[in-house]
Amino acid sequence: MNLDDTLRTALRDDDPVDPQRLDLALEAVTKAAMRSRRRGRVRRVTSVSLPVTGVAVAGIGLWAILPRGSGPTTAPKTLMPELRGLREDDAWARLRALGLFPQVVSVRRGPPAAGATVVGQQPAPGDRLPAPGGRVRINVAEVPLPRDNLGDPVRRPMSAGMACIPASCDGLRVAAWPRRAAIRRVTASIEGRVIVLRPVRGTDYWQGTLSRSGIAARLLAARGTLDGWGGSRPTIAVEVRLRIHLADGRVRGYSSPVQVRSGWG
Amino acid sequence: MEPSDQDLARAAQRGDREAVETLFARHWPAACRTARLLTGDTASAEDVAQDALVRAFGHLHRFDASRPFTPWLRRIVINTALNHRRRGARLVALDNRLTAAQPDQPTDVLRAVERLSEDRRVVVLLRFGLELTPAEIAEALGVPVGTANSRLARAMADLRTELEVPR
Repeated sequence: MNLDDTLRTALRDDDPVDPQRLDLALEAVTKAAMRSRRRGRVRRVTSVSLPVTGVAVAGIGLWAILPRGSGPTTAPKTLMPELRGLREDDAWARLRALGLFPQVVSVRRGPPAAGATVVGQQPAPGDRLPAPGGRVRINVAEVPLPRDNLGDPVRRPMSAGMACIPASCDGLRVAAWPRRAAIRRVTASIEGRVIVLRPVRGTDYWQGTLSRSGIAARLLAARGTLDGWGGSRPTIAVEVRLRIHLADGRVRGYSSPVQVRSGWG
Repeated sequence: MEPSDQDLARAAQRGDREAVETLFARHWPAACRTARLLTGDTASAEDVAQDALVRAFGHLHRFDASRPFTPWLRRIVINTALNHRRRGARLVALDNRLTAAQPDQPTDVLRAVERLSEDRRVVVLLRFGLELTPAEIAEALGVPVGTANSRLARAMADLRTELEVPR
């Protein structure tokens, strides 16, 4: 075998794509594309705005002096409603009433189930409503969610913090993140069997398989480190978010209220 | 007939979510593979690929849809991966790739590639890991084709010396 072939063999890459990670990435990329579209629109509008400035000023003046009725605002009809927490069949009914088509992802596809709960949606609540006939992705959990057992583990004693993490999280695979120079946001999340933690200066990064107590300890440790930063930077936004989508007949979808935002001025 | 990347990019620029999803599905595996290859860090490669695609799709309004989409995106992924690797001094690229190597993959070659200077290592990775032509490598790195060719030739010479392979 010559050197070229040896290199090809050595650099061969057979790793499959992680489907759960693919969903996460698609969500982020779609949001970025929609932001890009808005920026593109702004640029186009800006480029034609100068010639029509005079017309616009005249229009505003006219608008100010003309009498107007107090018609109903249309804003609420253009924004996505909150679906999370609804029963799946209720969410379907609500979307169909808006002329939209639900697309169930992550858990299963098929007719709505009476017992299932919506635990995630895309577009997010408050985002622009898709055009009639558009698709809305919803994540549903087949079983009632143990909301009472899940809380915010931050700043709790270890035992209480552990209680916030479902027992079915045992054995989760953890991916390490690299350090970055400027940190503005920290996100810890559990997606399927992957935990992703955005890095924080002074935090130990980890990689491997974690136990439930390990997850709690590390979430608590990350927060503890951040607390030590108070005032050392102009603004630090911290967000710890726990999203769980597990299989094996237990918790199959969850977007938890574990969300902490802090800022230090 | 399947729409071309450029058609999809135009539709995505108009806000068509399905076009974004199709473009993403087409290019995500290659982006992951490129990130894995250049960072050498399996654990964070998908994060790097995601960062790159978010950056690319976030600037989709600047993309000239009369030009090919793949080289534009590939260049963003490569730059993101290289920046990631430069910033992450702690990365244990070699260890990760060696750990992940299959039994039939020659680890001594991987070690030799890791010891190359960055300029030369990158062209070797792109040439033999992604099977890019010198012209594609030059476009991806923003250098003349001659420069890509000379870097590749020097890298191969270094590797032959390191591995004691006869010319």
